[in-house]
Amino acid sequence: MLLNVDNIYVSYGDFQALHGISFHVNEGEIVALLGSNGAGKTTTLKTVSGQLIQSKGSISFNGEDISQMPIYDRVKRGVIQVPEGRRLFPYLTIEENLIAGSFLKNNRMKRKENMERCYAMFPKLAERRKQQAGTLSGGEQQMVAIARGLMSNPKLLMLDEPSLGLAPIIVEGIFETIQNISRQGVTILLVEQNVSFSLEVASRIYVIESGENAMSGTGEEMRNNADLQKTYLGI
Amino acid sequence: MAIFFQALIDGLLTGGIYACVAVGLSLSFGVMRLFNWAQGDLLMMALYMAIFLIQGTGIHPLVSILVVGPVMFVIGFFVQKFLLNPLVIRAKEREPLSVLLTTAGMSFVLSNLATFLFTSNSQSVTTPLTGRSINIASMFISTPKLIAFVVALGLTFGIQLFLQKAEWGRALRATSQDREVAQLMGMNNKLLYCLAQAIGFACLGVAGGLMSPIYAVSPSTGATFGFKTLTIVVLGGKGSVPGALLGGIIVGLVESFGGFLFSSLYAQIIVFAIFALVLFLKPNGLLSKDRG
Amino acid sequence: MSKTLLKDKIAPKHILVLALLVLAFLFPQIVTQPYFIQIAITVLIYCYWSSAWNIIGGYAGQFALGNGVYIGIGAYVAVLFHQEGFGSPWIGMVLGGVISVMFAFIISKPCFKLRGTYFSLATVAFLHIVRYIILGFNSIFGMETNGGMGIMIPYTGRWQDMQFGKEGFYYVILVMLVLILVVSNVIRTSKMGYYLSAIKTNQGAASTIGINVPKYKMMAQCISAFCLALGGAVYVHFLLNVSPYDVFGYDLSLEIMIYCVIGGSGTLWGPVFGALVLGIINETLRVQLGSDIAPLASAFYGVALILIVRFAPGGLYQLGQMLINKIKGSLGKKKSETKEVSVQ
Repeated sequence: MLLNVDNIYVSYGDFQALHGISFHVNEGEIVALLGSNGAGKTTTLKTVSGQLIQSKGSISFNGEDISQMPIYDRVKRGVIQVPEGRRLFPYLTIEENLIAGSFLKNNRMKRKENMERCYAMFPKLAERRKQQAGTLSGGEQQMVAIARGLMSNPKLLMLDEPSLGLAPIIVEGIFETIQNISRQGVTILLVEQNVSFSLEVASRIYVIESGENAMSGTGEEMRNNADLQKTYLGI
Repeated sequence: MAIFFQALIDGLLTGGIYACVAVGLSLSFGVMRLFNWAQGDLLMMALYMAIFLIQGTGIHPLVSILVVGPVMFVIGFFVQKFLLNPLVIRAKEREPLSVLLTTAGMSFVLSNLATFLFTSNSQSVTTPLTGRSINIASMFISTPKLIAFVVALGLTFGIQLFLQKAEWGRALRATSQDREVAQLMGMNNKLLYCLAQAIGFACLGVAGGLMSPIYAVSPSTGATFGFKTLTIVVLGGKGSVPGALLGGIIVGLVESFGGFLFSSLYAQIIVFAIFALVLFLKPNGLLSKDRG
Repeated sequence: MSKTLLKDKIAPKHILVLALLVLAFLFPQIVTQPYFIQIAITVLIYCYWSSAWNIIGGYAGQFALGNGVYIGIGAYVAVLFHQEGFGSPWIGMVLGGVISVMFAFIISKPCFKLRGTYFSLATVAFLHIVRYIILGFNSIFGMETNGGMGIMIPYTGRWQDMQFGKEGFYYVILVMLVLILVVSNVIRTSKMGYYLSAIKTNQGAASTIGINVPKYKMMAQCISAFCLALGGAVYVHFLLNVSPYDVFGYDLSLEIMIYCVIGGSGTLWGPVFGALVLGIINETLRVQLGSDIAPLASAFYGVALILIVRFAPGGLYQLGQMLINKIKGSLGKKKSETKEVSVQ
């Protein structure tokens, strides 16, 4: 197990967002967290990355308990989140965004190498590397966001709704990229509302509803079970 | 005609010093939305430090910069760490009220402490630079002001370079644009905030040293410079170092010309009026689109 | 409402308030030295001003740091009105209040468009602008104002000229304090107070649920400005002198805010509490250690403010409540719920 999330409870002030969420991710997998709007998917990711701290429960990564660690310590260990809505640094160029992604010392050393790989993966970005990130299209921004995540040498790459607000053709490209990255050995945790692509790509799937685990299964099971799909995924 | 150029030069040079004072506030406000209401009083503190240092040891004002600058750097670092970080780090709002209250409190403490310790009389010191000037084409260019301008220019240039090219400088810019995401890149925002504030305080320290041959200090120095500084920050746009320079020069020129055309009081009113106008029309500064 | 016994309607705290009121009214009769009455007057006016500021700063949550400007406007208008022979300073006082409201309206409209720090800065900017104008000119609209020297008010001792004895001023200001507390309470318990607290908590959300945010902010600001102005008018007649250093000081503006926050902004009694405690400490120190100590005491208030903001944001009022609850708890009575005060 690379990541083990055990029974976490998270609240925003008085509002209890997660009631005992548990799941795990094995090395090399693509795991998808699915659920409707407001189910608690983003909250879960934020807790794993350290933006939120759980009131109960624990999180371990690579055998180490990271439950109370500050964000930068988790990033050091390779827990990387690509946030919802892209969230690029608007006034930095594409290149500067990528550089920002490799801020930490050990990442800086591999910076040139990683940048070459990113530009190879996303040739469109290479052309526009000096362009301000805020001026890019949604699809381009998503590419930069993912590339930026890769610059941090992730062991676990967490993607929060990468397909949000993007045209289907672009989304196809994104999912291809995700599979590409997975093949290169990066473990992926995917949070998505777009069910059909996730079903295609994920090795295992968890469905979250109202802050709780609703159901889980392998990608295979979910893909072949139309009933499951209807009940939990509204297909 | 000569008088016109005299006012021009004077305003320009003074503007450099103002810029030095404002850079710190601009950084603080830009990087962490932390508006330090005590900026003017901290300048007063730095000026007292410089003046007493020179009075006590007789060193040259420019040397005092090498002492007061680093001292202020350290003070700024720890003020942020212990006083301000706790308020900013876990706050829900972008600009928590507690910051305003705390820095206003700091201002209150500093100015009153100064009044108590030094009474309302002003202190000044005579240095090898005081009163010296260069005579060019029947204009008098104050030597200490010229030196101050050059140093201030160098300082702002250096900080801008740091922000653009250095690893930690870039990190400061990233944090100012999106502090949550910056953390996701592994940037330690607590540390970065301390750094930003420390740089700002250090600039005040340098300004104090530069001003020691020129200005006298009194407990009301804080109030005098406080408002000038925030006018400059608003004019120049928060977080913008070149903006602080531009703002400083504008204010310097307005004061200089205002003083020579009307009176220094009118000049002050004009500065405030400009401040109000910019605040309402272009709150992000005259250079609005350009950031960090 | 069903028939309730009289004793059920009166809570212990009502009795406390009544007792305080009686005590306050009897104070000058018990303590007759003019010196103490003078101190009391200063303390009372600060209680009054802090309460007036509380309406915009505490209830509405709009940190208008420059509101001290209305104290000055009220003061100058009242004095000039009388000086130029237009009539009694009482009418001048009301006019000062009205003009302050006008200023508040004109100035605040653009200010309220700004958020957070910029808003506070804008209000302070106007304070400074007005102050510099008064400082800079010896006469305004043809009326002698003497710039920085200020205007001396000729002593007549007549109540028509807003001059009473020390005791008189004490009672006048006490009545004003009571009135503003009544007004504050009415606001607090009315629909307006409800809206203001929603605006204070989250302006955006308040507007989405249909609250007319600009209207209520403006109302709070105008009430605050009006009351501050009245206080200014009365107080300068006590001082028999009005000068920009006294009434247009940024320090004064800051002080009334500090007393309000240290006491507990957003509560009814907080500002009074703050001004009372700090005012008394101030004067005691001054008596014991001489007036040179005043800035040191002020420095301590600054420290107190910083500590309170960090550790007890509800001010002395919150500390008092916590203390009372602790006492109640240890006396075995049912523990009253300690409200969680959100740390800012």
